[in-house]
Amino acid sequence: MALRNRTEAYDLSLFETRPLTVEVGGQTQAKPAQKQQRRNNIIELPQQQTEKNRRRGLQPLRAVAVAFTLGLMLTIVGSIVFNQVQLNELTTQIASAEQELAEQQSVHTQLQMEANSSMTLSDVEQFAQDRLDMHKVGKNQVTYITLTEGDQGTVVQSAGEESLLDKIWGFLQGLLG
Amino acid sequence: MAKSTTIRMWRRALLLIGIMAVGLGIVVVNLIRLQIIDGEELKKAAIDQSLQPTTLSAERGTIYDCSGTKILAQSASVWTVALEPAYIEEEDKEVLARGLAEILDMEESDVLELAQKKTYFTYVKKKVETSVKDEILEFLDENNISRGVQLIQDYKRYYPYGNFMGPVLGFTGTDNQGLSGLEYQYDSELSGTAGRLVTAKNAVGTDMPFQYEQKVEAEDGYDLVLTIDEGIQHFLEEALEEGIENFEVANGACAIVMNVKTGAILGLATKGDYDPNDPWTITDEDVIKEIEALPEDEQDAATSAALQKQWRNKAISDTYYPGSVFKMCTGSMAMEEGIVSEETTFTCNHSYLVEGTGQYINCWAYGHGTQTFVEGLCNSCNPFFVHLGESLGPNLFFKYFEAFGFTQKTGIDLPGEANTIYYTADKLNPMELATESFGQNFSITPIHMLAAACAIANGGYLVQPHVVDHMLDEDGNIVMTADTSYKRQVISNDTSERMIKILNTNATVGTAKNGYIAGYRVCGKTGTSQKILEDNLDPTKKHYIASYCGFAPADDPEIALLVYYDEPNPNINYYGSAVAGPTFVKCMEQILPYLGIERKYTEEELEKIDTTAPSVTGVSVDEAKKTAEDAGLTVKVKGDGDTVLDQIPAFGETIPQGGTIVLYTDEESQEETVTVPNLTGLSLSAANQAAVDSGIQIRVTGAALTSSNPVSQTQDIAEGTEVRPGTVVTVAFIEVDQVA
Repeated sequence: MALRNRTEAYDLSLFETRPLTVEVGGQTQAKPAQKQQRRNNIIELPQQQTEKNRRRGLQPLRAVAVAFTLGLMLTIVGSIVFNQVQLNELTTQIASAEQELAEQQSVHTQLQMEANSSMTLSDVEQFAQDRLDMHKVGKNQVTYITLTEGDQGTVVQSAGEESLLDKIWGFLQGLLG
Repeated sequence: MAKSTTIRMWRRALLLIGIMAVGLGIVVVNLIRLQIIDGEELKKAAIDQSLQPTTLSAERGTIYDCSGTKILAQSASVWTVALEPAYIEEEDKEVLARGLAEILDMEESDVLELAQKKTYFTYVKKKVETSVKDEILEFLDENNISRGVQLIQDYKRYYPYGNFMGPVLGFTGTDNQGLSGLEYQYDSELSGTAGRLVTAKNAVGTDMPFQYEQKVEAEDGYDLVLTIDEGIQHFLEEALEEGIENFEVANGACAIVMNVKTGAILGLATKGDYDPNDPWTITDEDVIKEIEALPEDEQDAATSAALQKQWRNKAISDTYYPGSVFKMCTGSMAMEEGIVSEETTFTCNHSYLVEGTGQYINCWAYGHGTQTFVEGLCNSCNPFFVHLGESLGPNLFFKYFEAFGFTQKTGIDLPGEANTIYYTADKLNPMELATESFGQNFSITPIHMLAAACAIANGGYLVQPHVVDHMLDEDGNIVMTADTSYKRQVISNDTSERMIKILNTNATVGTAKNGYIAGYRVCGKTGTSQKILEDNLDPTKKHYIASYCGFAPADDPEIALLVYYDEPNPNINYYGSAVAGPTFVKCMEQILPYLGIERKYTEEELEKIDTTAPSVTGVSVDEAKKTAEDAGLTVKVKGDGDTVLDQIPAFGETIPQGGTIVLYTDEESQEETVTVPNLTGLSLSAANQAAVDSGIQIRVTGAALTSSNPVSQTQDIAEGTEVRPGTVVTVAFIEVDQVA
């Protein structure tokens, strides 16, 4: 308040150390500056707040929980990475196996075609005649038989209409059956 | 002091906040740039980099015969061998050339030349088998050659039976596209649809199919199940080859078997043909020699023409004058219109004056005299049919001509069907009508003629010839079935039945008797047509087409067969009856029992029917004699033993009635052999005498049983063969006097 009414540009005395004055019973008394300044920096907290802000000591359960969580996270991340690696390996194996399968199927077809090519009907006929001493089926070896028509059943008399009880019984049997 | 610290802290905090704000600002700006401004572009680039689409090739469908199990064409992956000369070490080139040449069956110099080329890539051999690929890999491994040889996966179409059914199956090109035959006709169905796989690739380029995967499965091509029966096809091809050899046929032949009721082609043989595995090689050695004799600048064109010719399916691509075979159609027309009946008579005086022309048409005979319609057809009398044509008139004639399907393609599911050439009703002047009435002056394909014959055989219905019975998808589901409904009714059931009887008579006692088969009630008509154009081009010799068209059995026709020989040697024989008739018989004799069609002998036939040898081996000579004589056979004993050690013919083999059974009673006699004489070109009695003189016996087939003047044409055991006494040789006879 004192500064407002002053016109000096620089009042170096302001930067000098001097005791603070307090009015006690209408008189101004000087107080030690150190004491005044300290009072300005100190925030007094209630006891409850102090307890609240106090740094907590080592809590074993909490440490275990944190370690467990971290471990779990590491495990999950690790297993994801591991699974991806496995997946890639399996994919490679599947691709390789599929290629092998396709190749073997082709080889099978190639061999089958090669085998078939040596078994034309002319070759088979020649082999049967020359090597196995076989003959074509003679007409005397074939016997034609005439089959009777299949057995037939004829309903000669109508069974008549079912009674209501029969219908119910049939319905129940149908449900159970 | 405390006041200064607080201000500093604030200043520092503000500085830190400022730096963080700037940093965050940069990040945000960049995020906006990357995500919003350049987002789409970068996203695309990222996808392009990590996602690579792969084409999933569809496998070409397989072709089966009618059984659905016999594979006629199938694809498999093979390998193409290529070199990268620029990457081959200089010192490896000779070793590589030597090794590859040996494995690939090539000239070493050729491979070396390829290896020394100043290029980065060159093909060595295409479509080699996996076993060959493995050999190459082994060779490269042994010689520590790691660069310069490429093995590229490819596809190859296999036709396991070589030229069997070649022109029907066709072949594929280097890109597996159909180029001929069924492969071409059903190319889109056989090819299937290629699939596409889009997936992320890992660092080594392997698919990561669980991320970003989009897969459109390839659809394999459909499998074709044909109506063609492997057995019937074999009978046709075998018989045609024999006929071509016997009659020195210059321009190939064909034979078609069709189910008369459904139009299903059961066999379609064309000769000369080719191997679809190697369609670019000319198979006819005479043609190769002719090409080699040409000047070098003409060889390419000649080769190309020869290849086109060998790929041609004569059964559907060649047109010809059907000749007298067509008389069955003219007869049907006239009978349907009530112009003629079985008893209608006509007098043939050799020449017939065509009304309104002043010109005469001659009969092949010196005049048949007065004859009924049945006799006229059995005599294949040209004037009779000219008379029928005139009676029908151009409009009626053309109406039936069109109804029989001669004016359009049959629509058979094979490529290259030829258009027919004919006169329309308004252009059928008297001479054209007269000549067309007996099968000249218009051109149709063999398949047209056979379809018409089927219509006569099945009650008058024109059926749709087809080769594919059904198509199957990769799971075996039927996706297409051939339509076997008939196109239209051409003649009535009554006319059909009456014509069947007449044609049966013709094949028994008429000009078509060379197609007679005991017990099988065959109907048939022969045809001999002259190739006028070829005659004009080459007047030094005559050019003919000999054909035989018929169906069986007469009481309920099942199958029709047309045999067609293009340019048999006229010095041997060129008549349809003599040239094509025996082939018809040979085919039908095998096909009808194969299809389970029963023989029904007439009493007359039963008297002549062959019997079978009883079992007399292992019994005493006396007992054997009694058994044989009870069976109506003569006995000849060889050796001095008391027990029969062997017999000729063996138990169950065919032996003519009253034939001789030879009994061998010791080991010495069993070693005795005789030589089969020439049994062709002889009359029945002369052939029999030659057989008796040689100690063998003959079984006769063909016209021998019905003809008055048969001549033996073929024998099933070649002249000069050493056989045991009593062996039965089958000799086929024809009636050489038959013409038309």
